Amino acid sequence: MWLVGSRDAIVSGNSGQLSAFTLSIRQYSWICWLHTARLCVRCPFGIRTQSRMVLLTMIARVADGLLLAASMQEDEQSGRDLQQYQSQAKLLFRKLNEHSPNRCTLEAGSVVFHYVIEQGVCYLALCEVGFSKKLAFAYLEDLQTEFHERHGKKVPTVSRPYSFIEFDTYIQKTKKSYIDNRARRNLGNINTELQDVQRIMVANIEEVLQRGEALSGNETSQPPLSSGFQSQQPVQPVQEVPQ
Amino acid sequence: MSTTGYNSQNGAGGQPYANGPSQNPLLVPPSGAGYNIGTQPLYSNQMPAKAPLSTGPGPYNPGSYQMTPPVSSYQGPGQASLTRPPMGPVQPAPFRPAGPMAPQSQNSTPPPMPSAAPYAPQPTWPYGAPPVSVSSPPVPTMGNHVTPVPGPVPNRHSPSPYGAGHTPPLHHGASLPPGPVSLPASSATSSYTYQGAGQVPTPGEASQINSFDHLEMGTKGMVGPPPPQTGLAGRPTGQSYPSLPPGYANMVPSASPLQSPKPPYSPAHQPYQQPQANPAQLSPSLAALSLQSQSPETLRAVNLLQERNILPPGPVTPPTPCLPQDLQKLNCNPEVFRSTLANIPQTQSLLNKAKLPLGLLLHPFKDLSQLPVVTSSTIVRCRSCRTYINPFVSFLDQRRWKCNLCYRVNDVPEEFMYNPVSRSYGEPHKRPEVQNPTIEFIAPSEYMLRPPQPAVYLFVLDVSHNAVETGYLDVVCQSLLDNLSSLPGDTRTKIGFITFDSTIHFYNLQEGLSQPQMLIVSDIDDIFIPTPDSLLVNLNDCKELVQDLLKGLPQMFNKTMETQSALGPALQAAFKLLSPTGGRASIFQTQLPTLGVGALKSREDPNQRASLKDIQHLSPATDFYKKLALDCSGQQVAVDLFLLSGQYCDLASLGCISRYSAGSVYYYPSYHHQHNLAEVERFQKDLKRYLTRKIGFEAVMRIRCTKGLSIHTFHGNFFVRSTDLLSLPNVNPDAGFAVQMSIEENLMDLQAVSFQAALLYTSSKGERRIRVHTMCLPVVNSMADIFAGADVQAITGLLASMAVDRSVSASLSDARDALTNAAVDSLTAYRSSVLTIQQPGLLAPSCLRLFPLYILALLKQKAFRTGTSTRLDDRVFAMFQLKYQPLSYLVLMIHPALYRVDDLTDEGALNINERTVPQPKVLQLSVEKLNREGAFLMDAGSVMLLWMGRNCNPSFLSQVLGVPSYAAVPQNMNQLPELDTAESVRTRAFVGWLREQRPFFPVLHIVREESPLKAAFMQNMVEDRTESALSYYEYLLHLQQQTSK
Repeated sequence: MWLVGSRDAIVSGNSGQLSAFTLSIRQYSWICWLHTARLCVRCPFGIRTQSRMVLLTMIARVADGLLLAASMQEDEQSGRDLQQYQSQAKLLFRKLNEHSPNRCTLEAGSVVFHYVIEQGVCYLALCEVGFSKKLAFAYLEDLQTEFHERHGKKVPTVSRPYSFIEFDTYIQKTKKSYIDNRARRNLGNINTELQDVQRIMVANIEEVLQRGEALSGNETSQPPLSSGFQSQQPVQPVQEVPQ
Repeated sequence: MSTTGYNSQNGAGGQPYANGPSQNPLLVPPSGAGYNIGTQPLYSNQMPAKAPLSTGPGPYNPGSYQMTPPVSSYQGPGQASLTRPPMGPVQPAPFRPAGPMAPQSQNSTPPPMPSAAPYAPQPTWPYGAPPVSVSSPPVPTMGNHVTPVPGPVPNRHSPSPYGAGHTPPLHHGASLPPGPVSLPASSATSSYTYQGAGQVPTPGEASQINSFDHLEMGTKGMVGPPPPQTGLAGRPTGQSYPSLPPGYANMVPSASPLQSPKPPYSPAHQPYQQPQANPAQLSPSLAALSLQSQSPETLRAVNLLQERNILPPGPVTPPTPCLPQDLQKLNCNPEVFRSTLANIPQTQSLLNKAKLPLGLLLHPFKDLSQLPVVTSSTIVRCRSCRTYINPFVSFLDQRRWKCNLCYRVNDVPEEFMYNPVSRSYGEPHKRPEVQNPTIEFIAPSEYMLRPPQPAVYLFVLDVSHNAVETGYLDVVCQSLLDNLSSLPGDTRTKIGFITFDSTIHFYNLQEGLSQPQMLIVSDIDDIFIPTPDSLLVNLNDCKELVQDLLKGLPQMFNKTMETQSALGPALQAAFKLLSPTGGRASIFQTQLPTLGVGALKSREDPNQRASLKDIQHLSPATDFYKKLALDCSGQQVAVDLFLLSGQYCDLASLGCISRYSAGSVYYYPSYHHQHNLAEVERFQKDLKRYLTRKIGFEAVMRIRCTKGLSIHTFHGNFFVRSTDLLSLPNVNPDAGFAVQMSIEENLMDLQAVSFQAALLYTSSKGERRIRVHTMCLPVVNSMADIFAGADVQAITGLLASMAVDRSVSASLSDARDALTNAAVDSLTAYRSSVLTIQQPGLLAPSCLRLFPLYILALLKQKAFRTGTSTRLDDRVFAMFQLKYQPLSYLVLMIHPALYRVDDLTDEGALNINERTVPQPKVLQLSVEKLNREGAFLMDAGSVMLLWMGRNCNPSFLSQVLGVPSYAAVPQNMNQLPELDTAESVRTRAFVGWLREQRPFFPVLHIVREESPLKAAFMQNMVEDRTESALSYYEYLLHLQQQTSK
């Protein structure tokens, strides 16, 4: 914790904030009841934050696409309009069926959707292209386990959208432990568990949605999802970007 | 939304709404929260000669009632101030002829209320049919008609207090029909639930931010011409339903059958036949129609100059529309939705001729004791105008229904064929949607642009030296501590705090910290959020930290010497913090903002407070607050303002932050924790209500009406998005709205028109819900019928709102003239168009007999009075209240009820829950009614004053107040002791009963002869003359003079 007047505060301030700093020193006497009171100044270096977090998480019932829970991160920094992706996700949910692949990655420009289907429930995450695919799937598995335990039995009975919206609280907490940076090291075990993440099918969201049919993994009855799928190769953009 | 866009509708500074829209909608219904107390004053004409009252201060002239005072005399006693005839000759203000106006243009020109035809224009009527009024039963309280449903899996909701207590279960599991699990959402799922008391279960929250337009309310213009339908119902009339399935045949009488059975009606009355009546509603026999033949009591001519005894014995009830009884019983509760005219004129010219304002008053989110809730995978709406199916649509057959607003014929979806209430198939007209005028739907995902938002509460507290001096922090923190677990919400609820003086202080409450951490941002010119994640925290997870903060906060700033206030930057910080989710910001401010953006300067000249000239500075000094409010609105953030101040704070400017973000404004003048205990108590009570009342987030409301009618000006706190969509970042149960309407196309072919208000919101539990209210009113074509349906309270409420707009856009004197002109014009129209026998005197139809009294009361109200010292902020606050309070709250604020309470008896008492509640008469607001030996209770809505005469009955003093003598009454007494005497029990029962009728808690003040509140008490004696205003009798003479011109 910084104390008022700590070096950090000064260091991170720019000249314009020095006067502000003095002001707060004057206030120090009555602030100090809070030992941790701290003067804040804007970070002068303007680190552009590339989102290291999952941007959007949605959980839906596969049978009818009913939304069960969701969490949106609309912070100013990302500045993204997630609305569009949310609509795409909703469309996607409607196209999923029991024949759809259980694990899939769908590209959508600079972002990708990853989803996992378990027990008739689809867990979907929207990440930036550079976000670790392993991490994303580990995150989805984590959600899946918890959600199934908490609400799995009720899933078939609900009819109202977002019936389990309170799961959002768990999503938000979990999201923080899957930030794609150094913290990932703490999750080493995940890497091993999901070695085969590279084999997960990759397709393009637009193509999937435009096909007008349910997304299906049945190669014999459906045209190939995409060239990426046909070749069974992990797609380039989905590779991990070391950060 | 371009800025210009806003202006036109939201009238910021002034111009926007010209014709003032009305105030809040609701009236006082008998059942609900009405504040009515029935009493009836009878006094015969003999006026007691001067009132004995010694107490009366000189200025009140008890004798004013005598008929003698010549009109001109009013100048007399007063002081010189009265040079101008108070209600000046009405210059017809510039009204624009009401024509079909384009909505915007209208807004820009406030309709002058003055004599001209401010209201919608209407041509003359073809025939003056005899007035017909229906005495059908009072409006049904909602919900009663529907029996609780044994649906497939009906969930019954037991009433729970709203607030945290709610339990939302509605949906869980319940709604699904036992079926294959795999198809949970199958069409059969609709479930129907009754919810109990007033709260709507609100489980999850969802929200959608932006444009709900297309989602929820449908984009179609409400007036859009219905697409030509197939042969069937091309015409809007109700009559042509060619082919009815056998089953319905008996119920849908076509026009011809209708006419014959109704002897009582003269041909002119066809309008009352059921317009496209829903078969469900039409009773097979039309016998009910005969009811309407009742005598037109509401039209009985009353000579106001002679009949003094005009206050009704009981509550003032709204007129009943001339609808067949079976339709009327399905009509919306007037407390929730009502029109100034219960009978809608057929044309604008007729309306113009009647000189009555046409508008609607709504209290859409009122706490209801019963509310049917429907969960259904598809909500049935008109494909053309997006109207929700309602009790007033007609079923052409089992598979098709015709919209009652645009007349399009729609298919009945398969799912709708199943009735979860009766568990039967094939009776779409018995579905709850078609049986209840007020209903709530659980919205499917198409009504959400984003996942429902959580309940988010941010408190922004002024901690400058001035604020600390008032001691308000203790009350706020204590109240929050007490109610923390009652804040509406679920496990997602978030809370945060900001304090400010010359800098902005944030509080890091992140889970895991051992104590709250204060973060100070002193760069107020460029506000930023120091740590985005930990300032708004999950209330459940961080409750202890929050409690620690609340306990420490009041002492933290004890010694501060900082006197500056950077309110603008603090608001910007609040906006930034709430932007990602939306939510509610509660601002507590105690002084004029002095630093940073939004800084203001004092504009009030104390010497002008009692000025008879025009009052300046009623409009905002800066557009900063309005602009920020619009930004907030776009991000689903509402800002509520609590202003606690002894000094001028420029509420006219500050209030914009709440007005355009759909917030509320609370004002506690001269608040001080030691010197003004009455205000402290009021503040505490208000806070409790504020923190625990129901709340809806990210809401929008749209009001639709039958084609031919047009809504053009809105009143209340909101931002108008896309012409008719009100954006309400928050909606609360104490918010009222009003709209003005005009008749753009003749309604010749129609027997009835309908209005529907749909409010889409996210409950504090994260459920997206739609509350729909539908009202049906008959169309009439005679002046007599129009007057018979005039709703004096609604008219007064609407006029008050219009007058507020007028005061800002033109001037206060203009608004005052307009009010008087409204009374003059309508009475003149009545005299010339309805009265068949000309009589001397000032004649009013019985239903409007209170009109002049209410108008006079408005003129003496803080908002509009002149010549009496009124602080600018007090005046502006009163104006705010007139604009956004529901009508039921407003009525007592305009015209308080006065009772004598020292001689309460059980005679005629009500018996409620084993308690006997005495029912004293309502007395006129005149000093003449007081007397030294008595004790009188004045109920002014948000406050009650108990005034005691100097020689007050000793038994009352000892048995009720528990004091030995008058002199022993404590100066600041504000509650009745609980004594074990019959008198005490009666008095407390009566006061308690009055309080129960409203959701907030009116504080009671005991007023002695010399107490400072006596002035407030006396100022409400609106029938008496004051130094600067006419007595009621003088005012009547003035009106008479004007009408006979």
